[in-house]
Amino acid sequence: MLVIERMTRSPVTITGEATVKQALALVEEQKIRHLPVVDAEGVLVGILSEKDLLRAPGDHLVGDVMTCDVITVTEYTALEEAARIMADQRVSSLPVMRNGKRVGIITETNLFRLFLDLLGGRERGLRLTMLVPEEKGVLASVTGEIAAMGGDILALSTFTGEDPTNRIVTVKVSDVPSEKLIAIMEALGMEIVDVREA
Amino acid sequence: MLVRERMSANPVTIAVDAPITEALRVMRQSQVRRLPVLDDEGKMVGIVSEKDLLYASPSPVTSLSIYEMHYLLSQLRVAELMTTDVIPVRPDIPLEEAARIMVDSKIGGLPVMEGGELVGIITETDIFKVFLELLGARDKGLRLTLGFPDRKGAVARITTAIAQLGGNILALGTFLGDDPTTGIATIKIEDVPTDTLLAAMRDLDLEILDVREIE
Repeated sequence: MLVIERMTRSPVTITGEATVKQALALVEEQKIRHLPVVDAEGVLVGILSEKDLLRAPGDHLVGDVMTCDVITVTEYTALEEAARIMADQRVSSLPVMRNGKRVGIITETNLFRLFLDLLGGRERGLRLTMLVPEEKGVLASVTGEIAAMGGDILALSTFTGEDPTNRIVTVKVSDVPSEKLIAIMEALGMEIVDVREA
Repeated sequence: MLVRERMSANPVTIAVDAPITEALRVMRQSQVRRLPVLDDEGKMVGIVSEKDLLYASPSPVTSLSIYEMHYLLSQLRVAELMTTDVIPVRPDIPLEEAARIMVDSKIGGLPVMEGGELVGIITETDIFKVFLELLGARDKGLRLTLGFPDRKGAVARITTAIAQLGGNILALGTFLGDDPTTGIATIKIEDVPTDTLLAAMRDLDLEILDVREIE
């Protein structure tokens, strides 16, 4: 999954000559939390968050209170790389550039929706969380057994475990009885942490 | 992964009759953006966010002097600005369920309650950190995005092929495809040459959407 698949295209922008008050009105009207700032030619010169605007005096100019050091990504940046940049740099949005031209914006909210997809947050099924040994081939045996039972994997994700020797796997499955699935996973040596219909 | 594992336990709280200047000070000191609000008996009666407080602060363009403004703010109580319409969740619900509630209700944080007691708070930021782990954003390796036309059994075929090549899967996440029978998987792998891996994936009739080396 790349930025291009989840970014917001042609985001609303403002110029540096607008006042903070005008920018706030725009943020409220458009229900957005980030406002890229552009010059007369449409070139990106800064960015403002709703909070930056709330903290600044209303009669100041956008150009005087914006963040000029804008961190950007390209359309082909991996989404988790965009997420890592946001977490490390403590920013909640990144303008998306192509050859120096602005083509969109990717925000925490865009990424948040992706997280829902990843864990199958909107699908119904049997949700199983297991602590599995950190060994080559473990995921193959887990998913192979589910497939052999005729189960359909709706979502599967891996997380860091309790220590480097194990990891956590959350899987959402349909078309397979819960007792049978648990018995087979336990027979494979997986530690069942949680089971639920979700 | 349940809310319990990623929530902030024993969150910083504020009294319902505290002035908002005090709430702002507590937020800055504790570096949090929202505070559960407690009444005299320690019962949670609402949540107040930094944004609620910032929107309420008089605009500095007013003709008020800084002293008058500070006085006005100190007279305003948390009770007047808090959100009472909060959605509490239990610590044993899945994280993605908490994420779904946040997205659907457009709120950034949920109080976590157990047996009528406030035991924690779970925020967008907490969930965001899990997301990084999930796609192995901090691991080096070969990153592959695959589209599979038929979902059933696809993850098993992919992981088995990688295991047979001696590859180690560092992270794996699946997404919905354009329709419910198709899917997309992003995988981070080490210990397997790129060409060998791609050939094996093509043999499985998988569509290679993206390949990159992450260092």
